[in-house]
Amino acid sequence: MPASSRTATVFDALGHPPRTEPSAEGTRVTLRLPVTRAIPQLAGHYPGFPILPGVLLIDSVRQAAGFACGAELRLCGIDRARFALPLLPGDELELSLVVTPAADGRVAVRARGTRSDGQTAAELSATLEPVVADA
Amino acid sequence: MLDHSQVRARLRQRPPMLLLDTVREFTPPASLVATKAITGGEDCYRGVADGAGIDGFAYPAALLLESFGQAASLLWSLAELGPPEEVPLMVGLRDLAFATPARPGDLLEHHVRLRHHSGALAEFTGETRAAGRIVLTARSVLVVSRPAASLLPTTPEPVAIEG
Repeated sequence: MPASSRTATVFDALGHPPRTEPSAEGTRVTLRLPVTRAIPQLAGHYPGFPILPGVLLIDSVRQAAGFACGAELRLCGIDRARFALPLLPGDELELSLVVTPAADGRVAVRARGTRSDGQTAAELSATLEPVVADA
Repeated sequence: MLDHSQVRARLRQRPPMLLLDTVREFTPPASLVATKAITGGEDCYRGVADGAGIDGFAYPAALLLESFGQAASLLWSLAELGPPEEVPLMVGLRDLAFATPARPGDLLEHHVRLRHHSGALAEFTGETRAAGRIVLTARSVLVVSRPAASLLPTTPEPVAIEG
C-alpha cells in the first residue's frame, strides 16, 4: 500500500510492473500476481484456510488497467465475472487484460486470470472511469 | 435482529476482511437487510495523504462488493441453504452497477434477496443503499458452498516407514 495516496487503497497488486502493448482493440496488459501479495487480507479470509478474495482479483484488474491508462480508475460496472478456482498462497496468477476506450471517457476491460498450471481461474468484463480526486 | 457478535458467529471472515456489522431484518424465507458502517479509521484509508479531498475517501468498490457478498453469505446461513460447516464462495457475478460511492460516515444497507437455490448453488440479487441513495445494484451474485476441508491445500500422503 503506498505510504501516501490520493484515494483509498485495498492492497497493492502491482509488485511486478505490468507489461503493456498495443493491440487491435486497445491495449493489452499482462500482470503477474502472486497470491501472497494479499497476505494481510488472507489473514482474515479465512483464518486457517487462506483463499484470495475474488474482489481482490477485481481490484487487481482495476489497478492493472489504471497502470495502462496512466490514471487512477474507479469501477463503474461489472457485466460478468466468473471465479472458477480457489486461489491459495503459493499460487501465482497471470492476469491478461484488454483495455478498450468506451463512451464518456470510460474504459471497457476484459480480463482473464490463468493459474501457473494453465487453468483459467477467473474471467471478468467490467467498465471503469478515471477518478477525479482533489489532492 | 443479529448484533455484531452474532454476525461473527455466522461468518468465517475476520478483520481486515470482516466487512459486515449487523443484520437489521431477516424476512423468511429469503431476504434480509444487513448493515456496515464506514468510518475514516478503516484500513483502506490508512495511506490517504493529508489534504486529500473528500472524493479521495470514496469507499473502494471491491470492499463494497465484499461487504454485499458477506450479507449474501449471512442470508445463506439464516435461510439454512446448506450445512453450517460449509463455506459459501462467490463464483459468479452479472450486471453490477456502482453508483455514487459511499464515504466515511455512511451506513451501508445491503438489501439482499434469494433468487434461486439448487443444491450447493444459490443466486442472490439486491442493492446497497447509503443515506437513502443507491450505491450498488447487483442483478446476480452466484454463490456455491463447499466443505471447508476441501479448500485446504492438498498435502502429500505421509510415507510409510517399514520395519
